[in-house]
Amino acid sequence: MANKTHLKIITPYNISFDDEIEKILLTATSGEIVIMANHAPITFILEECIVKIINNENKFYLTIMGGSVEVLNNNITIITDAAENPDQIDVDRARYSKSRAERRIDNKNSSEIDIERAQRSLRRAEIRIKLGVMKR
Amino acid sequence: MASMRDIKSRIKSVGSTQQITKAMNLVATSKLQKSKMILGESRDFYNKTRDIIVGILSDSENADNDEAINSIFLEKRKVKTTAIIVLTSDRGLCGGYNANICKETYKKIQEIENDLFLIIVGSRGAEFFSDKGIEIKETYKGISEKPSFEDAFRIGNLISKLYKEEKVDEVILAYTEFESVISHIPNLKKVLPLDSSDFEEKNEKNTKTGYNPLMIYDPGKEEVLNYIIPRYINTVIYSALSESAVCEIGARMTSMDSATKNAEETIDKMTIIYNRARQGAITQEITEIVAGANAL
Repeated sequence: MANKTHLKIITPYNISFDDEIEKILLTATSGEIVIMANHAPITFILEECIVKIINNENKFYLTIMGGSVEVLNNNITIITDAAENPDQIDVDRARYSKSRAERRIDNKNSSEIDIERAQRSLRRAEIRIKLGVMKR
Repeated sequence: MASMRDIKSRIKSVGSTQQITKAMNLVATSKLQKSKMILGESRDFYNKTRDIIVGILSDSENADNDEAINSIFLEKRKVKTTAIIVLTSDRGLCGGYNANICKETYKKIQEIENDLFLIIVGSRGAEFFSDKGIEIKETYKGISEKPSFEDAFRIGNLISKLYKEEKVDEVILAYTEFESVISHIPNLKKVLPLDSSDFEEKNEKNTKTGYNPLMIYDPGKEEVLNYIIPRYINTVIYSALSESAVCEIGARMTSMDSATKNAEETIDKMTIIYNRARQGAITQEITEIVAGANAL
């Protein structure tokens, strides 16, 4: 039983996950990381990514919109702007925002900030679509 | 003395005003509960983000090799431009809420000798400062009562960017602190540059969560810190926005409550005057009838 670890995902609006898990797969800025029970203390930055959580043969996926992870005393804490499970994803809306972001990036008149913002929303839309489609 | 009809119509108009204030009071009461809850929910996020910064800062302090952390957000530079973010409401009818925070900020603005970069949330604040002839660089409207994290994000990213590009050298956040439903304190808080001593104070109390000598930072302490601080700023702004929203609604609730009570009193007073006028009219009529009968 000792090989379980506690995962907590905190967003500004709520605590969207708070439970025991076996392992979690995430994408950090330096590459993919799997964290299992009793991991050494580490703090790292997360990319916008799909995380895979494994617990008792059950696998589930969440989209995480960037943030940071702290592992300490067998507790994993993810701080993120938004975490969504596949049921919460609106693929059509994500597709729409993807095409809008692409238009904005192509548009020569966009300012630097607009492009930066569009690229962010493009990345977000892409991973939402990926997870949304995968689950269908 | 005003005629009976005049008094009656005034009673009626005060009565309908009372109905409005009563309804607004009820609406504010239920909104207050909700926004108080939102304020509580963002606490965890704020505390955790702060904990990480505390961890990194105390870690670098305790490190034997003097790996001093250099972060643009911690370093104090000569202040040429001060940015002030003022949080006010979009709508009035909330007592002294807007006046208090605007007055406090105005005092600060007059003390500042360098350039000013004013960011206003809420149209009431925008009106106040444009009346005073102060240039407003950025205005956000329609978010004061129900701030979302995206709004805070927008403001936070703007100031982090300005700060990084050295367009502003100091950032002050003017918001209203919520002490209780009846007590709201206008507060000016310096958000940038971060004062590392602010973080020390806390890690003495909870060394357990803050500092861990074995903690690994990936890709590196500085990178993590420089990534976390702008996010921390966003959460600071978000909690200030939520707290100000609670104050705004609380102020509206109390002022609407007193307006309702006031209307009650006015109606009572006017009813007495109305009854006196009615009695006067009856007495006069009787006198006239009696006089008429006597004349016959």
